[in-house]
Amino acid sequence: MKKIGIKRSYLAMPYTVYLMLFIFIPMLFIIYFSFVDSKGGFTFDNIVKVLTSSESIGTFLLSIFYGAITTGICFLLGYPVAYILSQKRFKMKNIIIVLFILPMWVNFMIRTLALEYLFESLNITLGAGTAMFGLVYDFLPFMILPIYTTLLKIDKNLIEASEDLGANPKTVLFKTILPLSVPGIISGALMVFMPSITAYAITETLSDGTFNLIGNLINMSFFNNKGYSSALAIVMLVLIFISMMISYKFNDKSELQGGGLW
Amino acid sequence: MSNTIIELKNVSKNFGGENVVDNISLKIKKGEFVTLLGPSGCGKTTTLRMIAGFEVPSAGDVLLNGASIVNTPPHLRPVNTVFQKYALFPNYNVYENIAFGLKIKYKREAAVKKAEIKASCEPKAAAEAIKALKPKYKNAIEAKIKSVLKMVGLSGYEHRDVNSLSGGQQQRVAIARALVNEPEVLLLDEPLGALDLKLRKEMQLELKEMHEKLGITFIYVTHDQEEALTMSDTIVVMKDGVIQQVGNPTDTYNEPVNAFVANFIGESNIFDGVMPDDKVVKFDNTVFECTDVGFKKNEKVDVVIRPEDIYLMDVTNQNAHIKGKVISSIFKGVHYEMSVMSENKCEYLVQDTAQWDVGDEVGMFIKPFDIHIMRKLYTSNIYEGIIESENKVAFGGGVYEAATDGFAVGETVWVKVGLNSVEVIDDKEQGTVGGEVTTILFKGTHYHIDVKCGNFIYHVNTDVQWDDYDSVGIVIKPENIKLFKAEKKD
Repeated sequence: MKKIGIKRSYLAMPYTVYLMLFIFIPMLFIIYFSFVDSKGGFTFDNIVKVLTSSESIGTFLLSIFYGAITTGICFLLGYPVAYILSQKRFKMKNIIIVLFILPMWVNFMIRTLALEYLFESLNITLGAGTAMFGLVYDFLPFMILPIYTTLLKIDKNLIEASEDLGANPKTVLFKTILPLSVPGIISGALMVFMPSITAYAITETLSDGTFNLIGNLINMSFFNNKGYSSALAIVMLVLIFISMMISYKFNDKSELQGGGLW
Repeated sequence: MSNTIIELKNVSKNFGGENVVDNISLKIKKGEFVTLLGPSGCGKTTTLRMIAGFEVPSAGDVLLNGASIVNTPPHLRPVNTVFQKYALFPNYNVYENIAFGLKIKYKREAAVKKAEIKASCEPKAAAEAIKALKPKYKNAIEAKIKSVLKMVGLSGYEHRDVNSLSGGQQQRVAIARALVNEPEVLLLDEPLGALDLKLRKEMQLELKEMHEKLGITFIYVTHDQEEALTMSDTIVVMKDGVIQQVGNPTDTYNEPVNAFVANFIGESNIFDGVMPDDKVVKFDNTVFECTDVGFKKNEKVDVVIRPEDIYLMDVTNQNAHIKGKVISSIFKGVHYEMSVMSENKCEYLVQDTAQWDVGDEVGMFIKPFDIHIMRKLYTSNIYEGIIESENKVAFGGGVYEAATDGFAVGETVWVKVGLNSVEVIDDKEQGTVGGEVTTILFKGTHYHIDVKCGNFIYHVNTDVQWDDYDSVGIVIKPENIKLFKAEKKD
C-alpha cells in the first residue's frame, strides 16, 4: 500500500499560517511601534512615558482596582451558585446550569448593548457603576464553571472524614470544601480578572465613554500617538503574563487538578 | 449497667427498593474487637456507615450506650472512622490532618470556658485568663499529636506533606487522625485493603496491639477471612444484608453454621449428603460415621470437611474410607494442596504435608468429629406467586408458564421449584428473568449458585462453572413448577 505523503505536523499548517498573519506579525508591529519615535528612530521614550505619566499609571491602577472588585463580586455571587449546583440532591441542576451558560451563547456585544438600553429605559445614568454591572454580568459564568467542576471533583470521603472528626456543616464548608476548591477559585478568578482589566467594549458602551480602563486608553491614544499606545499594550501584556505565572505557581502546589473552564 | 456499647436493633437499609441491610440485630460489647466479614455487597460497609452516621437506617434503631443515635449527625457522635482510601486532607500536612479533630473539639471547649471566665471575673482579669487559654490548648494538641504519632510509628513526620507518604504511612496517619480524638468506638472500613500482603500482615498485628493497649471498641470491616480470624474477638459473618453467624474466630472456623460460612471462612469441602440415622451420614455414595445427632431420618444436609482434616494413605490401606486419584498437586510452602477425584467422581480438596503425585491412587480417611453436618437453609426454591392467567403464574420477578389446573386466575399460590430444575443461561435477555450470580459453592460433583434477580434469589444446582457477578438468565420448564394452595405452606 502506498503511503500518503504528508507528515502529521503538516496538518497544523493552516492554523500556523493564520497565527503568523493575524497574531504574531501584528505583535511584532506593536513591539516595533513602541520602540520607534515619530521620525522612525529607536527610542525608549514611549515605554518611559507609560511607566511615569500619571495618566497611564492612574489608568493601570484603576483597571487593576476595578478588575479586582469585579473578580470579588463574581466570586461572592458565583461560589454559592457553584456550591449549590455541585450538590447531588439538587434536582434542577441541569436547568440552572443551562440558564447560566445560555447568555454565553449570545454575542457579548449584543448583551452589552441590550444592557445599555435597559439602563437607559430605567433612567439610570451610565457611568462607573453600570460599567461594573456589565463586567460582572458578562464574566460571572467564567467564575462559576471552574469552581463548579472543582467542587464536583472533591472526594466525598474527605467531606465525610471532616464530619467524622467533629466538623459541623459550617466548619466542613470553611475548613474542608473551601480550601479544596482553591484551584477552581484561582482559575475562575483569573478568567474574570484578566478580561475585566483589559475590557474595552463593555466599559465604553456601558459608561458612555466616561469610565476608562487600559483598553479604552489604548484605543483613544492610538490615532494621535501610535508609539505610546503600543507601549501601553506591551506593558499590559507583561502584566497579564505575570498574573498567569502567579496562578500557575498556585496550581502547582495543589494536588487537586485545577478546574479548567470546561 | 450493661457493658454493651453499640446495639443494632432490627436495622434495615434500603437503597432504590433493595434491602442492602436486612433486619439485622447485633450487640457489641465495650472494648471488643468486632469484625464484620462478608463478600462485597453483603451490607457490611453500609452497616458501619450507619454506626458512623453517614447513612440513616430505613428501619430499626442504632443505640450507643443505651441511647438512640439515629438522629445524631456524624459530627456529634463519639465515634471516629478510618476510611478505606484513607481520606487524608491533601491540602494539610500530617500534623494539620491529625490536629483537625482536636482543634474543633478544643475550639468548642474554649468557647464554653471563655463564657465562664467572662461571667465569673472582672473584664481585665478575664481578658488575661482568656489570653492564657490559647497556648494551653496549643500545647495540649502538640503533646497529643506527638504521642499518637509515636504510637503509629511516625515520630518526626509532623511536617511531611501527606501526598509524599507511602500507602502504609498514609494509613498510619489516618489511624492516628481517628485515634487522637479518643473515640469510644473506632470504625475501620477495610483499612488495609490497598496495602501489599506483607505490610498488611504487619499492620494487622499493630492494629491488634493498639486495640489491646487502648481498650476501646474496634469495629472492623473486611472481606478477608484471614484478617478477620487474626484480629477479632468476635466475627460477624454477613451475606446479602443478613447476619449468618456471630462468634469468636475459633468457633466460626470450627463450627460454621452453614455451608456459606464454611466456604467463606477458610477452605472447605462441601458435599450434599443425607442422614440415614443419628451419627451416620451418607455422601459420595459412602456411609461415614459422624458425631451429629438430632436430624430427621434421611434429612438432606450439607457436609463440610476442612481440607486439612482429610488424611491420605496408601490405596491398599484397610482404614481408608474412600479411594481416589490425585488430579492436581500444588506446593504451598507448608503443605501440598491436592485435588483428589473419588471413584464416584466427587472432587476433594486435600491439604497434606506429604507429597503425592498427580495420577497416584490414594485412600482417604476422615475422622468422625471432623465431619461437620449442617442443616440445609433450603432444599428447594419457594416463592409466593399469583396466577396471572390460564397457564401463567407470576413469581420471583417474572411470569412463567405452568400448569394452573385447579387454580383460579388472580389466586395467590405457593410456588416450589427444585434446585436442579432451574436452568441458568448465558444470555440475560433470553431468560424469563435476568440477574447476576452472587454466591458460588463447589460441592464436589457440581456447583451450587445463587442468582439474584432484583429482590428475588434463585438457588440453583448446576454443572457449569459460573463466576461472581456473571449476568445470566433464568429459565424454568413448565413441568418443574409446582403450585400449592396459599394456605398450606410446607
